[in-house]
Amino acid sequence: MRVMTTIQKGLLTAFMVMIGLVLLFPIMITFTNSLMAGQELRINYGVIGKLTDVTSTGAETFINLKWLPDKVTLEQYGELLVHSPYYLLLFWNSVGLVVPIIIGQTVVAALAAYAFAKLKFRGRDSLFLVYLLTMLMPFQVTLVPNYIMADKLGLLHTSGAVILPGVFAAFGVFMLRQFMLHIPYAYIEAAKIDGAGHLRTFLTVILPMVKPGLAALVILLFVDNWNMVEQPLIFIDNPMKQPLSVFLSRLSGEWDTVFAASMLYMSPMVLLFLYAETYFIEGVQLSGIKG
Amino acid sequence: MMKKWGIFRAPIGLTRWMRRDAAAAWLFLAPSAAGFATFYLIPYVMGLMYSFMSSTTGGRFAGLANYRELLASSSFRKAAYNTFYFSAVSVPLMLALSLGLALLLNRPIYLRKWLRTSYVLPLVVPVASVIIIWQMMFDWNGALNYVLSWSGIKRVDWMKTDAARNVILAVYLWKNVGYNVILFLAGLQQIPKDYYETAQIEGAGRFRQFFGITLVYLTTTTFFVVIMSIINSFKVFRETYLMAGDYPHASIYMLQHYMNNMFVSLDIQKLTAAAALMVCGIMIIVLGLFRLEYRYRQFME
Amino acid sequence: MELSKEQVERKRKKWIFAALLLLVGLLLFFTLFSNTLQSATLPKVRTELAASGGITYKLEGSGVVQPFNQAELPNPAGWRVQHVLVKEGETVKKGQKLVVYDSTSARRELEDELAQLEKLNIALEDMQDQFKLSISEGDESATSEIKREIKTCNIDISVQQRKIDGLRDQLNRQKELVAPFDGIVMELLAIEGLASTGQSDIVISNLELGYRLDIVADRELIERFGLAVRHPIELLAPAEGEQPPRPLEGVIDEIADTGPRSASLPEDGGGSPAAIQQKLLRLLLDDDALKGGEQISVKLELASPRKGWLIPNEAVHREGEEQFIFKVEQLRGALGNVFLARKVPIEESESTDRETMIPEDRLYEGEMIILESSEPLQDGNRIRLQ
Repeated sequence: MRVMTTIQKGLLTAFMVMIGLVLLFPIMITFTNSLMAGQELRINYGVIGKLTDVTSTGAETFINLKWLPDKVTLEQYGELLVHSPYYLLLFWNSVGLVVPIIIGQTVVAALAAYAFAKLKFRGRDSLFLVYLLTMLMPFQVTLVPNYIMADKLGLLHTSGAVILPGVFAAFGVFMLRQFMLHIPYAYIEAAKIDGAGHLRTFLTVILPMVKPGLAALVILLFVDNWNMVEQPLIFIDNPMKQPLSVFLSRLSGEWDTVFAASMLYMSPMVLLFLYAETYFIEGVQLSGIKG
Repeated sequence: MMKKWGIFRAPIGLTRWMRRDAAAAWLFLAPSAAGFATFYLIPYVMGLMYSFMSSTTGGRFAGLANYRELLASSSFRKAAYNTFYFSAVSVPLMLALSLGLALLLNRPIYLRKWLRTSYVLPLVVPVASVIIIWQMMFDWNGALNYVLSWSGIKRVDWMKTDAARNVILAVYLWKNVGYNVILFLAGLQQIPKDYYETAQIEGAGRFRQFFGITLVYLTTTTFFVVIMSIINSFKVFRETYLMAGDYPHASIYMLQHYMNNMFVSLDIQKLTAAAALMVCGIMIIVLGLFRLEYRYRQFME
Repeated sequence: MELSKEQVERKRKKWIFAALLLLVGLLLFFTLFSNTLQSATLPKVRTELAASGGITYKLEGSGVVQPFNQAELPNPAGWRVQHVLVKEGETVKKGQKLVVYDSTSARRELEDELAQLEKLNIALEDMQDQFKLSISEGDESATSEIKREIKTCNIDISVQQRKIDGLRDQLNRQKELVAPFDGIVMELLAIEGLASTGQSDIVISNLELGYRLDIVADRELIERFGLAVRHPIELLAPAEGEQPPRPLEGVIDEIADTGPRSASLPEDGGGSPAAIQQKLLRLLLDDDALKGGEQISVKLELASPRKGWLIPNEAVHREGEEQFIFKVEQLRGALGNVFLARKVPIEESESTDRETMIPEDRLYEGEMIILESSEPLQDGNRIRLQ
């Protein structure tokens, strides 16, 4: 690769920063707008959803996209946290769906991934291919059978109908297998020579070595399930039991809370990502190295 | 595979251990396999069966009647076309964009780490959180029309015309570009630096270096990116659904919308048939890609 | 360098982790305490469902029946009372003797005067004799003198006669007190054996003219009921022993102004209590069974012709000329319902001392009225329902 001059580097950096800003734009605007008072937002964005071109005075109606609040206020947060009990309820609904899925899938997938990565058995590769293919399918293709299954298991309209399929999704198996493939057999053999059985090998050798993989899986699962929309929509009919993801879109137009609600909903995710960014990226990259 | 292991001539103890392998494997696999079968495998098989039945409960074998009916439905054809069209447009675009960004980010520029973070961040932002921003951007009175009005371009009703495709495309790119960029970055970092040095010494131009080294070594990554992009292009349904509801503009009416609506209207036959078709379609594409990659790799070697 | 970079990274992570913990902590805190916080910040209100209906005006009052006309009969001559012939409360006929006075002194005076008259008559006879004598003597001057004397004497006699007549008449009239009309002895002040001390010896009511009853009522009510002079009114006589309350009828004789009363309003802050104009209703009762002194009550009810929302008076606020109430407005938010206090101005209202009726278009069916609030309310204030 050619060596770049400082100016070239600077120009390229500036270009990349601009793209970065475009990508970050929705997040930043959500943040700054969450510090605005509802009144200010109504004035600026009140025309959204109205099919009018001009106001009575003849001026063209457009929203007045604002970066910085006239007055920084935590009004929206106060409104949301103190006066909107539903919000927190739904927030914990989300947590209540995501946490069991993460814990369950991590445990189940680590066990299965060990079998797929380090143990030999007949039909292993075909079974893994089946796992892989289901991972690629959109949720809707098994809508009816899943619904009937949930009904038969008595899970319908409970969070179990969302959590259990989430626990057994193939993604964790796939990702942890990728991580485990990179562990040389020598370690397992060494453990074996020490007289360890499979379970001990798994617990004392494999698990500590795939810690970054587990961390990455937790984050990726968090991202994916925090975002969950389709499953709760179908399986949980009680709006009070649904997670925030389904609900938040109904808030558009509720200027007193909408940005703070979005901000609070994304911030655990964003913070967690920033905290474990290296694991996240490692996890994504590793899952891509061997298709 | 077993033969390969035989060559190693494992010690007696190890062989015995290996013999117990299959049993242990199934024990390790049991929880996952049981759940996987219950919630994925059996439903797929059931779905496939239903697609040939006249009714889910006590129905008779109806052959291909469901499929015939499905293919006759114009909304299905529309949805299938939209889904296919969207993937066909978005995936190449995504590939080009993310590869370009990855290449630039792979240069020794300033703030690399921060830039990478900012590119990936959209991925972790929940869809529902930014719906309001998309509405603000693409509304009739929204920011985008405002910007367009500066240059005297007439307003576009983004969500209610064919332009909705572009909106969904933008949202899709925004969300997933970071993911593919880091995949490509990983691929790029695996290419040994001395290849380029050798090529330079041999007098190969930039162009040739890119096609001769970079792209070749990125083949595996690219296949993976393509597959992931296809899958993610299906997931854009979330955004579409949250932004436009059950019945969006016809140009962004996807197969998932179709299936959801069939579910709501309890037209199970069409739904299962559509699902079976979609599964087949995805399987053909993915397996085809695998095959292609396999061939390509053999060819390269 | 490498180490410090790692340190920076670790520090950054620590901060992010702290922020994450803080976020979760805050969310937990608000989940647990948002109710408490909400109650601490919002005024608490007591509400009532607005009832639809018409208002019923009530005119209530009572008074003591008094004879319409009564006469105070004085002792005509100031003589000592000899006999009292009636008792208090007794019904008397016109001309009936009520009190007999001791007329001894007057009679004695009359006898004296009679004696005087006798003397004058004797003197006259004497003069006539002298006159006859003088004529026969032919003494002209003496004759004319006597003639004049006789004339004078005649005048004296007639004067005396009139005096006697007067005295006799007086005696006849003043020796007793007679009822001037059919009536009832209301008060008996005369005591036998004593001269009267007060102005009157007997107070007697006039039975022919009936009774009156004075009732004070709000002017507004009187106008609303359309009460006017000569208007008949239903009254109720009180229960008497075994007898149930008895309806009777009265006629308005007079409507007169009387002093205002101050309204007792619910504590409202600011503004002196409004003065309420009042009127005196004088009713004329014509009922044989009445004796006067009974407590008679009036109870009139009038349903207003219009219908509206009935609201307890305590919910009505006043600010200067403006009248308003607060209703509860429910905003259906996606994140739960929000309750606001909404000011409803009342331009016209009808009210009694308990309820106010406001026009039907002011409220919708099922809306809640705020009766009481823990803090003064403003239009649009968020409130917490009790």
